[in-house]
This record gives sequence, structure tokens and C-alpha cells, in this order.
Amino acid sequence: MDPTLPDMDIEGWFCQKCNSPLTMVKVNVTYMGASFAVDLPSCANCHTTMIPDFLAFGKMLEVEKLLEDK
Amino acid sequence: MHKVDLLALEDRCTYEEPPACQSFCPLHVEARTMIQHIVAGKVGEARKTLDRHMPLAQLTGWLCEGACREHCLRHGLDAGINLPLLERYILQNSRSVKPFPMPASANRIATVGTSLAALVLAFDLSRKGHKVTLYETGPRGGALLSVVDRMPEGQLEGACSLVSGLGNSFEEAPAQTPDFLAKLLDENRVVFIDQGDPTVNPRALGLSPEELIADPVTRGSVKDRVFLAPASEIANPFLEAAAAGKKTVGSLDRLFQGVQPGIAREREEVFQTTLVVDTSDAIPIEPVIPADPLEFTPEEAKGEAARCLNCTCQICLSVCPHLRHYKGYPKKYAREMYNNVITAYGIHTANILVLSCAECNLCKEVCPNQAEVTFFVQKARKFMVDTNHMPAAAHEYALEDLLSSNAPGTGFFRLPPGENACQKIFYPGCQLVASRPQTTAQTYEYLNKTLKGVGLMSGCCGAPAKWSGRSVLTGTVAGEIKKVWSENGQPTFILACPSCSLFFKTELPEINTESLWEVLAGIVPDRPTVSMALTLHDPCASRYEEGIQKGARKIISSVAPSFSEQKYSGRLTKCCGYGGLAAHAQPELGMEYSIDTAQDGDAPLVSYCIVCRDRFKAAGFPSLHLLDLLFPEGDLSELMNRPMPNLSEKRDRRLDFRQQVLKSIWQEEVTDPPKIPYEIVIPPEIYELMEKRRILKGDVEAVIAEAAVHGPLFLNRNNGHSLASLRPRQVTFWVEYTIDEDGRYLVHQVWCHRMVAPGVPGEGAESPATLEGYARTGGRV
Ligand code: SF4
Ligand code: SF4
Ligand code: SF4
Ligand SMILES: [Zn+2]
Repeated sequence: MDPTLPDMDIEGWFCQKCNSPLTMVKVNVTYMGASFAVDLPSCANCHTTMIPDFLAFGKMLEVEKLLEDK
Repeated sequence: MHKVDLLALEDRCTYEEPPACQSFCPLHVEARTMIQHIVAGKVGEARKTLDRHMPLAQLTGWLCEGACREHCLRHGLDAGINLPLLERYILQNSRSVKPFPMPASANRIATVGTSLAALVLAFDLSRKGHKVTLYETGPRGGALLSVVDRMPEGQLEGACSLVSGLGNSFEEAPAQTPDFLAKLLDENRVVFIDQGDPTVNPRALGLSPEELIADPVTRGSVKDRVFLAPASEIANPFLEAAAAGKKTVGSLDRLFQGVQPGIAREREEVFQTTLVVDTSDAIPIEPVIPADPLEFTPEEAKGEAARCLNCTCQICLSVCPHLRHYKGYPKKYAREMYNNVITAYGIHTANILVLSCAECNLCKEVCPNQAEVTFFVQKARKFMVDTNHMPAAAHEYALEDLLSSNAPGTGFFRLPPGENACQKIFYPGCQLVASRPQTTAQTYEYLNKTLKGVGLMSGCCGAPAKWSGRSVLTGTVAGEIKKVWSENGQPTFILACPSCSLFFKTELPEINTESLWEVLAGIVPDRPTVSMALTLHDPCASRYEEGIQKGARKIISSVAPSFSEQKYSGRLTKCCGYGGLAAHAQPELGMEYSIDTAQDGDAPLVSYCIVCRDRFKAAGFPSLHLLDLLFPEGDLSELMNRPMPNLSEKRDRRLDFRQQVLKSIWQEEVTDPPKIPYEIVIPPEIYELMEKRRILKGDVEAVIAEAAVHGPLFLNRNNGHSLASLRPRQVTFWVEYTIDEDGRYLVHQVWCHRMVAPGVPGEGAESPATLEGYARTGGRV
């Protein structure tokens, strides 16, 4: 499964600790023993990663539901 | 979860049993389906249905005399459906589908006589690749020749040429002698004697009277390889003849495969169906009398077909929103649920069926066969939990609520003020405390004043854990109650909530309990009569508790003597949707339950379970709790319309209840929980969104508390917002906020997810044992 994401509005967000901007990186997300790769905004320096609202309640929720029925 | 559990439910649900018209048809024509096709104007489909069970329908169909009619459920009401004429209507307005040629077999069969049974036999056998020689002992067609006026012209000739066109042949029989029969048996595997043909002379063939008695199901004679059609002195000779031909084909199928002809032949005769149909609402409709007594016009046929009751068992469906919602019936559900649950891999689409049952037992009570769905669903859920297939999201909030109710600082037990022992403990239950804290306190004081020696215990009994199929958690929570009980001289528990009563009965049978409603019935406080009309609702957990139901009636009649009853009450009461945590797993369906139940009754409802009362109100029906009539915490019209508290409010109220009661009744110095040194402002629209997303105020507070110490994770340079995150349980929460000049946290957005990812707070936090872990540590504060 590879949810392709709409253009993510990550404009303006910075890592508070490193003061560096966020870049999109491919990350492996896991739930109920299953995992899949998704592009997420992440700090270029310390790799702290964000899961934005529209993603959590859009595609991710769909995938969570799918995996729950697995 | 075993196959026997499935079979137990499957066996009881008779939904798939045939209707009477079919069970009493000698050929078991699926009349109900056929009629529904006529209603829908699909005569071709009706013909296919007819052909499936009626061999050589183009002949047989004209000769049926409708033995089913007196068994049709319309029979006692007005008149049985006129199936013979409907069948003729189908025959005249459709064509049969050409049989598909089968590879030829080496089996040769002969018939003596050429009446209906022989033609049917030949027709059916040739469609399986066998060849039949039909020996004419007289004119072709036998007894059929005397009824040609009952069918359109040329019908008999047409049928005979159809039979020969399929590879069978007609031959003139020589003189009927024992030698002739011996020769036939020599040349053929089987000989069929069509006694319905008046020119057949079995005695001349050398068959003895004993040899002429056929087994009613196989049609076999005691003489080897000889099969018989009945002689024609029976009630409906032609349909019986067709049935005999059909049964013989069934015997030969087995014989040719080396199986005993008598194996697996149940229900080939007519039988009494076990299908139960509720006809109490059926309105009599005059049967359609055709202008031409021999034929229906299309309108007449449709009219007559429309009278069919389409007999099915809808009894449990008519009372259960869950069964209706998924358009099924217990037998079908049982199979789906069973397959779903035992499959380790693949998609578990039937999870939702298992999770949306309210485990209320109403279906069992209305079912003519007491089919038990609740028991099956409970087993299925437990199995899902034990095999790690229970979706975490389904019940998590209910279980969180349970644990927080029992967490130190919220749950508590106290001996009666100023005493060091107690005879009884009042246990109001987690929901009453959260919804009616002052009423609960007043009730306690009244009990202790009147009965003396009554302690108080606030918490959750563990019913949600049981509903969700979690036996370990159920045991842990029940164990905590048992500990208090045994450390305090094994007092009797007075239970306000009928679900607690049910839970104690099964999970804590050693504890002596009384229902608050039985207790109060004996000591009803004096209250002015309430003049408004009220309708009593029995919570579904009280279904089998007549004592509790009686107590509740005694109480309400002392305050509101003119109260009325619901149509569904007592043993037949309906669930509000909270039972079995159905409303947690499937909120929309939960609302369907609430509306369905609350609609029954013409005045505001009074329940003696606070969850029912709160849910009825949430569904738009003002309602009261029975204690509102005795120990009201406001005026009745306000109480009646008070909204159901949300999850965050429930938590706060339980906390408050403890603080208030310990201060005022026990005169304890209670330290208020440490105040957070800042204010959090959640705008109403965000609060509403949180309830939808099932995010608690406490979750937001926890994220901000974390951010207050460690700072947010991200900052936005465009709008100055901060973003912080925390994963306190199997959910990661995000809060987007700003801090104003007064140091207040203004919340702009809140969201959450269950997934984990590297770099996102909570990575590695997923542990299936978390919930059980909470139980041991007393929950999250
Ligand atoms: S009432 Fe329900 S469970 Fe019982 S036989 Fe009818 S359909 Fe089946
Ligand atoms: S009402 Fe219809 S389904 Fe019921 S017995 Fe009569 S013909 Fe059959
Ligand atoms: S919700 Fe109640 S009536 Fe419906 S299937 Fe479940 S136990 Fe039966
Ligand atoms: Zn960083």
C-alpha cells in the first residue's frame, strides 16, 4: 500500500529544537503488526517527524480501519 | 469458539426453512420465489424456478391440482394462493430453457408404459446422459390421454417429441409376459413399471402383489432393479406420478454411483415445515377470480401473486435494529461471524457484525426456537481478543472509562461515617455517579440513615471489559471488588445499575447482592405526586429480573401512579444501544437502537439505568432516571432535558463526586488535585470536534503539560503556532496552540492517530498488554 499524498501544507513549520525546516522523507508507518511506507515531513537534522491532521483523519484513518479488519 | 457453538445457533434459527407451500408440494416447487418473480413481472425467471423442481413442467404444470393451497398461510385468512393457475400462467407466457446435452452414459433403462411418470423419468434421465426405451403397452401417453382437454392443444405430442428428441426412444411392447420382463432386465440396468398407465398389466409381467409395493421414497420394488410408479387411485395422481418419476431418478443417481438408493433422502415426501411466520399483521385480501376460469390475465396473475405473504421468519428482525441494519438473520450471521472469527488471515468484514450486537437477548425471547445470539457473540468476541484480532479502536474508550473510574483518586470505598464495620455497601456504578452525582449522594445518605451500617463504593464493576471479550481485565476488575468485600466482612452489595447486577451474578457469584430497586421499594421515601405523564422503561439488563422490575414499578407508582408501560417491556424490553458496547463500536447504529427503543411509549421515559436515560435524551427524547423522582438534583423539566455528559465531563464529575462526598459526608480533608498553573482555552467548535474524534480534555491537557516542560516539537514561522504531541496510550495526540500574553494556551486544532512511525512520538510504544497493564497499575491518572 502506498498512499500518495496531496501537496502537503507544511509551509512555515520548523523543528523547535534544531531550528531547521522540515523535508519530506519516506517513513515506514506501523499499525497492528502491518507496515507501509508514506512520505512525511521530518526535521532534516534530528528526524523528528510530523503526522499532520488531514493525513491522520484522511488516508491514515482509512488504512487503520483496513488493518483492523485484517 | 467451536463449531458446536455455530451449530447450536444454526440449528435453532429456522429462517431458511421452506414455507408451507413448498414443504407440502409433492415436488417441493419453490413457490414463494416463483411468486415473487411474478410480482416483479419476471415471468422468465419464474419459469426457471418452476423448472428447477417440476420435471417436464410443460405437462406436469397443467395437471397440478394444488394440494399446497390448504397449507398456504393465507388459507385460514381468506384463501390459499392459487398456485395451479399461476403455474399455468407461467407456462403460457414463457419457454423452458433447452437442456444442456450431457456426455452419454452406458446405462440403459426401460419403462413399461408411457404415462406421466415414465415421461418424467425419461426426460430427467436423458438430461444426465442416460438412454431410456419407453415400451408402449397401449396408446402413447397412457393416462394422460384422458386429460388432454386440460392443456393447450398439441401439448402432449410436443412433450413426447421433446422426450424422444433427447435421445430416448418409444417402442411398441410385445405381449406382457414374465419372459418379456426377464428380457428387459437382461438388456437394461433398471426397469421402471409405470402403473399409472392403464394399459400396463404388472401381474401379467409376473410381478407378485408384494413386488408391486414400492418403497415410498426410493420407489424401488423388493424385486431387484425394478422401480414402480404408483397405480392411479391416489388423491392427485398426476403430481404423485411426476414425483415418483423424480424420486426414481434420485434412486438411479445413487445406484449408478454405487450408493444405496435410500441414502440421504430426507424430506422428499411432503412434510410439516418448522418455519414460523408471524401473520398477526396480515390483512385479508379476496382471492382473484379470473374472468376465464382456466386462465389468468397478466393483471390477474400479478394481483393473485401480490396476495402472497412471502412467508419468512422476521420475528427477531422486527425487534432488533442490528439484525435489520445488516439485512440478515441469525443463521446467516452465525456463519459469517464464525468464518470471520476463525479465519486467522484475510479480511474480517464480519467484525462489525460481532461488535454491533447489544448482547441484549431480546431475539432469543421473541424467537420461536430461542435461538441464542448473545451467547454466540460473547464467545466470538472473546475469541477475537484471545487471538489478537479485536480492533483496538472498537472498545478502547469504554475501557479507558472503566479504568479511570477505578483509578486511585476517582474510585473509592468508605465504611459508614464514624463506624468501623458495615453490613451493606451501596454501589451506584460508574455511570450514575458521572451523570447524577448529587442524586447518588442523597440516595446513599438515605440508605445509610434508614438501613444503618451502609458503606459506599464508587467505581466500575467491569461490565465493559466483559462486553468487550477481555477475560483477563474482567477478572482483574472483579478481583478488586472482591478484595474490598472480603476485607470488610463480606457485606451485601446494593446495586443501582441493572448491568452491575447482571455482572455480579455471573462474575462475582459469591457476593450477596440486592438491587437498589428492590431495597427502595420497601422503604420508598414520601414524595409529592408527580402530575406529568410518564412511561416506564425496563433496562435490557433487567430482562430476567422480575424482582427488580417489580421493585421499580412499586417505586414509580408511589410517586407517579398514572405511569404507563411500553409495548416492549419486562422480558421483552429493548436495549438503548449501550449494551454489549454496541454504541461504542458503531455509534450510528447505537443511535438507531436508542431511537427505536425510545419511540415506544407516549410520554417521557423513566429508566432505572442512567445510560438508557442519557442515550434517550441524546436521541432527542426527554427522559428521566427513576431516582430523579425521589432525590432530584434539579427540577424535573430541567433534569428531563439535561444532555448526556461527554466522556471528559464524566471523568470530571466522578472526580468531583469523590471530593464532595468525602468532604460533606465523611468530613475528610481532601486535597484537590494539583491545579495546572496555566489556563487552557478550547473553543466550542474544537471541543465538539474532539468528542467526534473521541479525544478527551485530559488528553489535550496531557499534551500541553508535556509541552510546558519540554517545549513543543514544531513551530510555525508564518502564523506563530506551536505543535506538540504525546502518546499516553495506544494513540498519539497532536495539539496545535498559541500562548497569549496572559500565558493562556489557546488550542487551534487537535488530532490523533493509532499508527506509529520512527521520529513520531510514541515509536515502539505499541504493546498489546497495555490495557491489562493499566488494570494492574490502577489506570492512567
Ligand atoms: S426469530 Fe430470528 S433466530 Fe428465530 S428462527 Fe426466526 S429468524 Fe431465526
Ligand atoms: S403465503 Fe405465499 S409463501 Fe406463504 S404459504 Fe402461501 S404461497 Fe407460500
Ligand atoms: S442486539 Fe439483542 S436482539 Fe439484536 S442480535 Fe444482539 S442480542 Fe439479539
Ligand atoms: Zn530537529
